[in-house]
Amino acid sequence: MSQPAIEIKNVTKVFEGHSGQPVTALDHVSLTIQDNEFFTLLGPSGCGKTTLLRLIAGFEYPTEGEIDLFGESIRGLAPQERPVNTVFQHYALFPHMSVAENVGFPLKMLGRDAGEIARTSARMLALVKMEDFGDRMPDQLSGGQQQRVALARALAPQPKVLLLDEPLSALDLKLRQEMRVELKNLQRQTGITFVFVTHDQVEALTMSDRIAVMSMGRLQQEGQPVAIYEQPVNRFVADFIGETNFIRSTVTALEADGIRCTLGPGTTFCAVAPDTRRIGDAITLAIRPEKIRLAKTDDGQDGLPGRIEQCIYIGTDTNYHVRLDESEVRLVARGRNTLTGETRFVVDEPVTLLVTEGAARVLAD
Amino acid sequence: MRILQNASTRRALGLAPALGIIGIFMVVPIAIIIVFSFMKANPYGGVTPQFSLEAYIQFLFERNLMDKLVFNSAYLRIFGRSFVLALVTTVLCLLIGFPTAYYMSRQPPRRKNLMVFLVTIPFWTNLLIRAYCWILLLRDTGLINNFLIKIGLIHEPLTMLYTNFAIFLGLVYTHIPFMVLPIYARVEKLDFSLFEAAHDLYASRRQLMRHVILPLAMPGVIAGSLLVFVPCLGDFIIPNLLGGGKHLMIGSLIQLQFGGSRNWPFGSAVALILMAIVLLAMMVYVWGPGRKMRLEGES
Repeated sequence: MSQPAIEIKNVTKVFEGHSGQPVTALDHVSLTIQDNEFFTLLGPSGCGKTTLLRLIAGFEYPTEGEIDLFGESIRGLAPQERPVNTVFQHYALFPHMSVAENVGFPLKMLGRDAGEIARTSARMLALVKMEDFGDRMPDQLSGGQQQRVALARALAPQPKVLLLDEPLSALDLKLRQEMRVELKNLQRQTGITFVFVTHDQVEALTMSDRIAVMSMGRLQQEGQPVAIYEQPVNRFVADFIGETNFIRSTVTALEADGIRCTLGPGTTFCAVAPDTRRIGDAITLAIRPEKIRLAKTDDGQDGLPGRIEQCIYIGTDTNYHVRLDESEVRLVARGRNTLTGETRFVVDEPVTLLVTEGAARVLAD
Repeated sequence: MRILQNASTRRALGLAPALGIIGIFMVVPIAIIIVFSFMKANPYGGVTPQFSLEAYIQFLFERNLMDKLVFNSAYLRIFGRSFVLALVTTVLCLLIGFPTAYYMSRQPPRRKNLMVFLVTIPFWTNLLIRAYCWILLLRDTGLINNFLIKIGLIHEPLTMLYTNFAIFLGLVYTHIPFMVLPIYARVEKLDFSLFEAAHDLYASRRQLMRHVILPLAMPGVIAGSLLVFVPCLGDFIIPNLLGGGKHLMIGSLIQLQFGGSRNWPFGSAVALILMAIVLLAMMVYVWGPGRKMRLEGES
């Protein structure tokens, strides 16, 4: 295994708050980001993800802990001494310089000669498909174009790591979707390690090789998008990423690969548990809406009986809010709106809920 | 068409007070000055209504005993001296004002407002009073000399009053807020992420200052320099009070013509020549670097 690009070792960052109270932005966070990886820091605003990015860039220094870049500590190095570049949320293009001058700026600061600056700028602008805009001023560009210039500028000095601070948040939806694909392609082409900060779970799931979910300054879960989505370790992760049904339940039996639990009298099913549980334990289950199938009651299938309370049409799918007959538990199930095959349901219709084996996960509290 | 007419009528009405004030208090006096400058002086003050170019001739020539015109550079030298004085003052104000403004803009918001307030405090007191206070401080038996003698640093009082030092001190002191405030207004608005971006893109502190902060602050620097240079050029209070009026400045010269010398046409002519030079300089700025600056800087 190759050397990791960034190692964040037990980093804590405490800020002086407005009222003089210390605010802990990062609380003993440890992370390893591999070389050539598209790594995403995901979390709600105020979770510490931007602070972590700024610590890597050198705009802030950790209160405790250490950050290594390719095996070497970058403690005390100023931003201009670190081989990492940042794409800022609001681009931070220099308004008094043309697009080409902006892209050439880092090379000029590094003392490269004019010919090399011109060549590299042109190449970088071509990379982000902005080769015809070199003479424009930043305020003559649209938001999406400014974004591309900011990318080209950050890539021009060929950093070892590119840091991206919510770079797509100021773009409209269509442009954002395009840029997701392009960013991912760019990362593959250049082979540079990308550390991407976002609060948008879709962005994180679609682009990343690995994701670190953060909340309240703590690392909640780290893993590949599939793992984060399918095997959330706690309630926060399950709730923040995608939609989830949370159900209180009790353990009734232990099995080889999980537990059997109950949702009221007579209805038990299997769930995957990440750690050991005992019979009688109260637990929280997480079940994704798309993992619950609905069937007409008269089909006679074995499942949880319930009744449709609400149907919400969301285009590709319909969300059915179902109340279980034997308890007050309410669940959301998702039916696909394909042209054929899928059964449709109406409000007040009695239904049977079929929870697929392994769909329910016990959350660590 | 009717709507347009209405809109333009309303605009004219709205502008009327401003236009009226400019008309009465600026255009009319300048017109009077222009007319006066082409008349003959009345030895008892005022003018005799008779066309004459004497005032403008007097600026460059004097009449010798044979009544022939001989070139006289005395007034040009006064102009030159005043320009140098204003220029040096502007440079000094810039050297002191820029770091001050930059420092102020980097403070937390509450400190910032306090500092802007402190910069404007001198405006609360009349310039004459402040100038007399400087006399009290600088003269041979003033506070500074007394203090230095008392602590034994010097035995003889330092001559500070009525020197060039006192003139520059007074001019810089009175004009520095006009340099600090426009630069501050400009630098304070700059997006701090630009500074971070520059560092992130390998700019050292000096490179950041030279390639990012200075160019972006330039409109403020130019505005401040004009606000210092132009009033300095015509100032006569400071050179008279702190410089002792030993060397005549343009401002004093003009003032003298309307006062003691009772040569209103000549005073008018000198004032107009000064105004023409300042206007010319400003036009060069507006069409030259200023225009480029606005295109680039105002975003």
